[in-house]
Amino acid sequence: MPYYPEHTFILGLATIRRERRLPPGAFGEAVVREHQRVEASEVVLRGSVPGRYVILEALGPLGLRVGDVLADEWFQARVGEQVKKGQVIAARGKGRGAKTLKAPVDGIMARIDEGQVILQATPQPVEVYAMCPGEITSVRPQEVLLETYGALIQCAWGNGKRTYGIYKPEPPEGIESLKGEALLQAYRSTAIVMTRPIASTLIFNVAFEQEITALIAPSMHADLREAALRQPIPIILTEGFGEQQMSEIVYNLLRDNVGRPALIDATEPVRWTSSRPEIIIPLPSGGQLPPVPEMDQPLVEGSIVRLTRAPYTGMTGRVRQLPDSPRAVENGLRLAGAEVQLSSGRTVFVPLANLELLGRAADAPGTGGT
Amino acid sequence: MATQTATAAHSILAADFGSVNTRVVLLDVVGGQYRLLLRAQTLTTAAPPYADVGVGLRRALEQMSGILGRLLFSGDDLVTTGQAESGVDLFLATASGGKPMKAVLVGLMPDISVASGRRALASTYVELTDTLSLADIRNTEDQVNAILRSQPDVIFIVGGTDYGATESMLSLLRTVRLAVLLARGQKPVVLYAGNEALRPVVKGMMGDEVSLYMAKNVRPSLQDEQLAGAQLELALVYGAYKSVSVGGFEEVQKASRLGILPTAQSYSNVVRYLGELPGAGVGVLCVDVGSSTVTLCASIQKEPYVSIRSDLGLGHSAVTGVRAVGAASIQRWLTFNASESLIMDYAWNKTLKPSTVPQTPQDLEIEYAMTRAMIRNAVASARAGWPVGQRGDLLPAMRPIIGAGSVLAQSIDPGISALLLLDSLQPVGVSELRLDPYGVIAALGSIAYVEPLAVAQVLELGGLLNLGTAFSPLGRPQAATAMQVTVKRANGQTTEHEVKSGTLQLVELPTGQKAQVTIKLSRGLTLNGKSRLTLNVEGGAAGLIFDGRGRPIAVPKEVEKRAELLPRWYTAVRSNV
Repeated sequence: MPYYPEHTFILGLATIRRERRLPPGAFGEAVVREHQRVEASEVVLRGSVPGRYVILEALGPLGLRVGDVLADEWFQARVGEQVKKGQVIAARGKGRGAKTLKAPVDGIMARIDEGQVILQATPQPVEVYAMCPGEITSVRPQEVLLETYGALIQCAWGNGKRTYGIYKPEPPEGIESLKGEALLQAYRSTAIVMTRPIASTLIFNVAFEQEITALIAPSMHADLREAALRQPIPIILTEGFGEQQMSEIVYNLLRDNVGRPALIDATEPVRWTSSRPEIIIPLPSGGQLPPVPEMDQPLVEGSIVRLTRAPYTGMTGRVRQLPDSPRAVENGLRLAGAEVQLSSGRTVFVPLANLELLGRAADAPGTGGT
Repeated sequence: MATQTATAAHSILAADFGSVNTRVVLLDVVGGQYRLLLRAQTLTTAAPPYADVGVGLRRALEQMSGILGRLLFSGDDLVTTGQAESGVDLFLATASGGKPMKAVLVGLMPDISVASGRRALASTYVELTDTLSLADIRNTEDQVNAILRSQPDVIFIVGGTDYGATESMLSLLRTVRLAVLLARGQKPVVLYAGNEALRPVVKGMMGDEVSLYMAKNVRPSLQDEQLAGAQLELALVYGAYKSVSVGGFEEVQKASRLGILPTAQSYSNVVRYLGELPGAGVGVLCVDVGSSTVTLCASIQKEPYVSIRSDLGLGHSAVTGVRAVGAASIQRWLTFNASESLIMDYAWNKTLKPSTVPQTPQDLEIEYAMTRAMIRNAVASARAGWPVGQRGDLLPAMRPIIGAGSVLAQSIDPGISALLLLDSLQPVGVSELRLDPYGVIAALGSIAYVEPLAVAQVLELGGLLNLGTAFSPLGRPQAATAMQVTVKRANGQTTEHEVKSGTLQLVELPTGQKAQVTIKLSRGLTLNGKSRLTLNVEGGAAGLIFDGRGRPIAVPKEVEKRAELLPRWYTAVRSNV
């Protein structure tokens, strides 16, 4: 009976398709065309986020009593019209004795309703960037589809920020060693890859001082999460929380592409959207169109997998056998599982639920490289 | 007792869509009775990138079709029904997974109508995004903007006793009306369950653009709480929401005879049925520990009480769950030093990868500790609405007690499942413990509407795993021995057992076998109010469990003492160690 595990794509070269959308609640449109090539810094969607509603009690300012009706003829601005802060919206009477109602903010007349006037404050403009060079393959009113080729590393967690630029490994003495140093050209405006967990907020402070553009690390303790969310730069965890080490397969991909620009999209994972934190390193397609990562893959003998729970967290291997019957694991639970040969050569039994496919074909060579 | 059935629906397929797993069961008539024939389980595919539960369902059906040698679906049909050569006679669906409904609760007094509103909402799968009440210090403008920002799927309005004063309610209704009028795109559904006299006003205010549901007042008088009507309407709202929300439930809704029922409602039906049977205690209790929710369904004095805690769970809700119960309540069940940081790291990693299972002994201990803490927390909040006497943190005499969800139903050993139920619920008295290892309760509860005979027969024929009977005296043992026990089996064999204080003892008595048990309790302990009693009981997968730890259970504060004691408890309840 086929088992369909979870996927985390870690691929050396793939065709990558990503949606770019206006934020929820925003209205706008695409400013690019189908088949247009775009750069990372190009705006692809432009719109506005509706402002808050302002409710004005109109009866008092217009000298009316509860139960009185607002007459059309008093209004100097109509529903749908823009108004400026201080502008007279309605006036009753003439001359010095006139009673007026003024707009407290810039906005749009939204509604006149039972003695109240409702304005919507001026919307805030918003722009959505491509974030990655590629081709626009589809344009819809509120979203576009962007296609690019390159390495794809899906990660575990991000702090909601994103950037596009060069990355490099941290200095041999560690990023903390830069504390107090004068601004170093070597690291300024680059993203830093750490192969060890983020141990403290000191890392964030140094990143800020050295104008580092992003931090890529395997893990950090969950009690640093709030501080990470407050950082202005992307912080992306490839493995998760705690003191997990970077998977060999992730490390090798990053090492092999050092010096290239990458999209570091540290989206905070949200269950009900397709967005995941990920690193995309655009690469030449090499003449042939690379495959699009496939989701609907069952686990088979030969599948390349990553193990997601202790004691094998982050290790990769190849499925050698899929036993028919459940087996007991270290803690005594009897679970359906697979015999997996790790990249070290050792074979272990792992519950099916603790395996994820990496998007590589079952006959792909090796597990340690691109 | 076997009975012939001549019902039209023989083969019944029921699917339950949880947050992590989709479980499908097939019932059919064998030898004149409904039996559980086959089950399958796959990962739920409600969330992106699939965003279609039909994908997971189809995978499960492929599994089952391969075993049956008969296709359960064909062509574009999600499930084939009404065909002679393939498919089934009847398909039903329940769901607890998928994106929960976002709800705004509007009421008057926080401790009265709002509290009742919360309890009504706890019967279905909602994320409560905001609450408006008389205690709300925000002005109308802030309230309207807050409602609009939260983009609720449903606005649930309660408050005001029937034909009581209306001024405050009218003010809140005007706020809701404004928010509904200003909402762009899909308007929220409005469910009104307040002062009956205001129904025509509510109808007039909301207009034709809004889908309006009405239910009996949850608080018709200050002393009286009636949630059933509102809960039923909420179930209907949930079903309608599911059919249009993310997750591809629309096709399932069409294929299922009754649409999509909330899983908790299914549980409630089964619990209510069991509560009607002779021998039920004060009530029946079912506890389901899932990835996103901990659900308690109780039938007490033949009335149903459902409580869904969407902030508790072992996967998607692991982080909110640990925050709700506090790390200390988890640490107290561990045999090693676990810092709050370690527990939160564990919870965060479970939230990121909710379908994973513990593989190491340490991870399993943490998972079991979280289970105990979350169940205790859920019971503490649910029992506020139960009409039974309160006695500290002890559970009234429920019988049977049923455990569901992977952590309980698929543990190392039936004795461990029983221990988890005893530790979490701390029942007092004589408890019959059962498990739902096959995920049938969700199915049976929906089948009950169409083929009630199937429910009775499947339950009678082992649809639930009988764990056995637990004896949990009240009090604190004052001697080295808590109980002297004599077990006289039906075959005449008699055994004597001494249960030491502070420990448990398991006596094997297989499922279906009966025995007469005589218990003499030591000073400080009573069972059903007595210090000595004799009763006839049935065995189960875990047999008979004599719990000499007293109530409440004293778990040592020092980790060294726990490291010594807890493994002994685990060993005591395992039959093959």
